[in-house]
Amino acid sequence: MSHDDNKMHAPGTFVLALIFLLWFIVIYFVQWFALWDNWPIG
Amino acid sequence: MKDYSHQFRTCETTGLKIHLPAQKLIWVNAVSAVVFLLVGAVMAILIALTRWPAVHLLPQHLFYRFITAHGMNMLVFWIVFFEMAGLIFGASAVLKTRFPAIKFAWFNWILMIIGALLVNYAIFVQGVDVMFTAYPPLKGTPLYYLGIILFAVGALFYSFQFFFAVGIAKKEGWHQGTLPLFTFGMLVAAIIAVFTLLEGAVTFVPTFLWSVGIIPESWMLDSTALYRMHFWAFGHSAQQINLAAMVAIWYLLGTLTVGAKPVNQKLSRIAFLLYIIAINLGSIHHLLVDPGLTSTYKIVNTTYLAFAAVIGSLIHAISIPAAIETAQRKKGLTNGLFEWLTKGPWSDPGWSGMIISFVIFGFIGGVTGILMSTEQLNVLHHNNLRVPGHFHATVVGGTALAFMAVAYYIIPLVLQRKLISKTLAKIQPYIFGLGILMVIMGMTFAGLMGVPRRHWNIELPGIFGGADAMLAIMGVGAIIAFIGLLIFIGIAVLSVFFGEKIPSKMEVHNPPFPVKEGVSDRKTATT
Amino acid sequence: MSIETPKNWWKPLNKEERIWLYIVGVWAVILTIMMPYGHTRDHNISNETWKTTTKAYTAVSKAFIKKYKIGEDERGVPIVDARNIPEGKRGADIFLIATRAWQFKPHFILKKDKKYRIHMSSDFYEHGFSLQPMNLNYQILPNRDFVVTMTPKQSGKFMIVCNEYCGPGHHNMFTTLEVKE
Ligand code: HEM
Ligand SMILES: [Cu+2]
Ligand SMILES: [Cu+2]
Repeated sequence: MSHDDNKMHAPGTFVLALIFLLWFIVIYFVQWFALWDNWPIG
Repeated sequence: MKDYSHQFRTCETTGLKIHLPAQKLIWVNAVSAVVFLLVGAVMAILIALTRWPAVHLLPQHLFYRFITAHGMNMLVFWIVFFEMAGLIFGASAVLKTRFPAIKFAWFNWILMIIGALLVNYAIFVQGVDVMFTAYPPLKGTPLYYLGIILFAVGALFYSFQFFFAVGIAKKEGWHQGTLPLFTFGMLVAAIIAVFTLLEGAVTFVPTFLWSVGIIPESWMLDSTALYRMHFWAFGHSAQQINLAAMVAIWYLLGTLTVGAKPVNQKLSRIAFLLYIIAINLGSIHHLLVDPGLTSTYKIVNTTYLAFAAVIGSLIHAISIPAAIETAQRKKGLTNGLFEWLTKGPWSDPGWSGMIISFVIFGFIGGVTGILMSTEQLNVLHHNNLRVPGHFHATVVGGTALAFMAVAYYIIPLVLQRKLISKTLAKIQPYIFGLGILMVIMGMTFAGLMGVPRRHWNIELPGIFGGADAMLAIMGVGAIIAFIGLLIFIGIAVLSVFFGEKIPSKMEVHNPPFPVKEGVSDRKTATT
Repeated sequence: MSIETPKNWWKPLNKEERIWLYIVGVWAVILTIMMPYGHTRDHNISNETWKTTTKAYTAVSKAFIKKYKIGEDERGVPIVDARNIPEGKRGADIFLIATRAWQFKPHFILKKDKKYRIHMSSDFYEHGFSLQPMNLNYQILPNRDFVVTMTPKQSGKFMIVCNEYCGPGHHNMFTTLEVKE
């Protein structure tokens, strides 16, 4: 087993992951604001 | 000890040693899966065209009956039969070992087939239209519940057999050391399956007894909340089986398509373990707007307990593409950030299916799932079309597509038949992906406008006019996705029966380091 | 390879992996905190449920409708004017029933900005309470009186639609909720 087997070289993946996270965060908070805009419920 | 040494052939592409009796089992489970996929697909197009208001195809009783049939045949029979094939493959070929108790395995398959046929008989002949959730006091016929129980028992036995097979591989020395990652993922799926199917028994044995008149209706009426909890402990956990199996298949496809190696097996395995310890409690996210539960209970179940599993998924979300990217860069695709992706083998349905399934699952299915399982946000989602929008992204665009993608490899490598049409296979993931994406989008946006799920005619309340365009997108997408499914089914079935045979390379195969006395002197030879 | 038996796989994480784990960890903490934080606002899911029976709840609902009924709408559903029901400290109690014959009763007239405690239950099947177009959705169970507090913020005509499949008459289940100044 060569020594660099474990080495990861994936800058593209990392960027994609960050894009994904950004998308996730935006959608998530949009939902909260939609809820807080709605009628008060309890 | 019995001599199994002549029951093996070698796969020339992967070097896997395939136990021939296990291969037959994989064949029968995979073919069963595809047959039920066909039934589910016909139901899908019919109900989707009914929900498209401009078409409004079916009369009401058939609509509800066919949703029931669609849910059962797709979510349960297609997916689970395919997973059984995956379990057998993971416990035999990948470990280069024999699959023990072949007769018992056939018995389990028969149980499952009888179960599936009974359920379909109950739906189509007896007219059961209770939906796969079957919330009492909606009542199915005894055969309906019996069918589900038989099917679940067969699947439970298969899970036990998986553990047994792994044990035999170790004990007889076929396999030594750490389990390969794919098999490890399937092991996780099988462990979750045990819990899930036991919960299935807790749910469906009482309902069966009620349907034959042993348990009185008043009990069921008082236990609706309890039923919902147990049903979802079963129904949601079942989705975690699918999740674990799908992720294992993504890793497998990464290897088969571009030779990807998981960059850090420690991390990937920990991520799988998080699925086991965390997810079952997350089932409570189905009950977030139910009467009778406190906020504390809901938050505890849907936050840190479920988020441990979310972390697991987010780990896979980086380690799978990272493995692929690393492998591609080693081949010299190093330009820019994304050459490894853009220059991927896009005409290989295994690759395109994997990528599309990964994107639909992650970007849509995963995200919408977290939204809905947030305590307060659930009130904006519960039971409207956003829910089917979400799970068609997870279990259809994600799991079902990943299964189809891997089938393009299973058919030649394991079932030894050439695909009858490479050209159609090439375009199939794109067609299906596009169609199901439109279905998902149509459902999600119609749901945002409040359109309920499982509803025959939304014109009646007179307030959903604005959603017609969305439902039309869903309808057109359904036609495209249906065509995609038919292409897949056609290729799979015709290849398996009429495809050109790929000859076996037979090999005398023995445990490399037999533990038992008396077998160690046998030689491994290629014929 | 995912189908190879790995050797020495317990290895330290790569840098990118470690960074991603930190990010993911922080995000999971935020997701977790948002739910308790949400409880500081007026948009939460009710915790109030009473045990009841289908018979008892049907009687309560009948009495309620009888007391406040002002007529019937064009679908024959009794109209209840709930504008003058005393609000008290916790809100004015009103009662919605989902019946076995696939009807919601009654048709409500509510007052804008007044706080209501909507009781909901069923006399047999499970149903869904889906207020449109506000898109607020709850589960209705038999033998459980679920009490949801709501303060209408706009006047106009709204619909309560059943969104839990409840049998062949499911799509016929809806009733009107009018909000007036
Ligand atoms: C051509 C592909 C497909 C189309 C067009 C399609 C369409 C639909 C439609 C229109 C509904 C009814 C939504 C509603 O009114 O509530 C539905 C429900 C459902 N679908 Fe699919 N579907 C497809 C494939 C699948 C697959 C492959 C699976 C599972 C692996 C699946 C699982 C389900 C489930 C579980 C339900 C819910 C049934 C229920 O509410 O009881 N679908 N689908
Ligand atoms: Cu209803
Ligand atoms: Cu209903």
